Amino acid sequence: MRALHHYIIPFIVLLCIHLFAVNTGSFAQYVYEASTLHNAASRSQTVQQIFYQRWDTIFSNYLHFDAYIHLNWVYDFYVNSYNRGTGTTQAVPMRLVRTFSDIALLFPVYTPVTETPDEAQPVDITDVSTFRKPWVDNSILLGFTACGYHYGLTRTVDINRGSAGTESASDYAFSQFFDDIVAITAVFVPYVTLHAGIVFNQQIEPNEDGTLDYNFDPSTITKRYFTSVSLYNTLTWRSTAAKDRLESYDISLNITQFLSITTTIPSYLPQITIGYKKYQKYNDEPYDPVWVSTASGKSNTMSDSLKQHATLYTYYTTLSKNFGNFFLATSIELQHVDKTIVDKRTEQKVSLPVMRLWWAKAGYDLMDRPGWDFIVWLGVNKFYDPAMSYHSKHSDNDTGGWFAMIDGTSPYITLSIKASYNDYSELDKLIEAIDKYIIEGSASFRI
Amino acid sequence: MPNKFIQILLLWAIVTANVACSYVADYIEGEITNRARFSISAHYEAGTGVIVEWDANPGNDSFAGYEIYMTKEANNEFAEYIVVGACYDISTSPYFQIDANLDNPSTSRFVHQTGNLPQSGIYFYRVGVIEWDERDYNNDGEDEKKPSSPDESLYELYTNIADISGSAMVEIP
Repeated sequence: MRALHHYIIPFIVLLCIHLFAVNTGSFAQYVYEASTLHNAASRSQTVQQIFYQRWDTIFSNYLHFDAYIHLNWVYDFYVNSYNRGTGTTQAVPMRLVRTFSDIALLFPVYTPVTETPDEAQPVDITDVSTFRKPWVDNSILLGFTACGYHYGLTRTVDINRGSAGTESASDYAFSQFFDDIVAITAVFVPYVTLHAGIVFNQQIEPNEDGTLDYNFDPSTITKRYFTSVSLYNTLTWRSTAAKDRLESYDISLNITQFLSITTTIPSYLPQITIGYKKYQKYNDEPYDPVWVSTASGKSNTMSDSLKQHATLYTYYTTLSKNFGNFFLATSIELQHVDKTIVDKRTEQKVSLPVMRLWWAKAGYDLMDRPGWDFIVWLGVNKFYDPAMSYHSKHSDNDTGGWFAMIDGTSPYITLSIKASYNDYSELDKLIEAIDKYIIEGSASFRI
Repeated sequence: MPNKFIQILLLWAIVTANVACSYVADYIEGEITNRARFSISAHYEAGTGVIVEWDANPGNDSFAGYEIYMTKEANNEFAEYIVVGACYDISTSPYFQIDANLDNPSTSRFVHQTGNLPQSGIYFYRVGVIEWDERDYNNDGEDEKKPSSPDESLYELYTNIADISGSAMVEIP
């Protein structure tokens, strides 16, 4: 009996340790705070990025109307949440939801009379080439856009309906962010394309019961202003300004397009774009991973007047080429920052690597009809950001990633499904999405 | 052309002035994931039980009833919810009660009677608006929005939560 006691006590101790480890598994997981979502400047970049992507689609397909929706889910966020039942805080699994929708109109306000009108070809609604034609040179087009991005965490609620089955519902959790663009577009074909608009950045706190009282009142919302000018679809300038300062600008040159103005381009030459972007990225904000210039005397509660700003300069080159039904594209982006930046955790100077990003993607169109596509895309990338290890349990500040996408296009409807893991375009929008799988679906209707 | 231009501009202005696009997309996502859309109130009354009140205004076309849910565990806001009130006998839980009024869309109050309440503690309640699936109930080759003679077995098989409330906290002494 004494020998039994001798073994039982260590056994019980080991069992308790094991049970404690198993049962506290969810609490031991990394707990995420959705802090970079508070960065309205970064969110403004994201919503503009999609705005410009939609307009690229509108121009390249000669559309008059585009309505688009995009739903994106990031799983496995564990967020410290207050439990009103226990009166304590615990790590709760949540899902980050990001949704985007857009409605855009473009129509000619002046079209010069052409000497040889092409009206002989009958219209075939399954063949876009018979009813979507390039805009006539010297015509003037006017466009309007309303688009918006919503970000926020939601918590899934399990509902047991007895013999009627089980279902789930979802609650809003923590701050919800609504960023909207209202913009006007003017085009003098093919010489000048202008976009000008306002970005409305709104943050709404959900109610304690998981619901949200939404109210879009432009007079109470933070605003940013953006403009874009493109000459001959070759030289493009894009900028974003806050109330008191220019936050970012981006200049790019499509070399192939530029050469084609004066000479005939050999068919083997890819589309080559080079660009330069200036972005006031580090601002001593609580969500920034670094302090600007020095850590001395700084804290996350310091006043705005004491905050310093550092600008990130990036230089990029993109190449793309189609070989029949096969598409290839690749890009590299180099970087430097104009001031010393200091890691908030170690207070050591952060040396940014020269290469911030490279990516490559390939696609194959399984259909070979004008206006109809069924493209399978695969892409890989390497991305660096000093916020990576600050906002996650990722051990360093660079990562490799991939995406796979199926993209279906018909003359009036497009559908797309994408899965990704550490894809740079997702991490650039939200660094906390690192080491998480992302599922995304989108659809559009266009005329 | 000017008239068409003005019409399009007005349409665009009306759409963008009333509902921002960020909310439209979020609303659609909320429909997919059954987002909590309306608030309710709930309080304990000694000798009566827990009184749950709401204002949901469901449509009549496919309305099947209201269901009342309560957290399964005491003192845990994030626990699973179980049904404690419905117009049919769909649960064997000791906390469950049938309330025939819950099949009426104008009902806005439910009393979880003292005899059906769990042990003391903090609990959370929700209200679900239940709707019929659109299907061929009459076997006439055409889909109907609801059965002409609803019963418990049809309710168990062909209903789903169309809308759900946020949570309301109640302390049961």
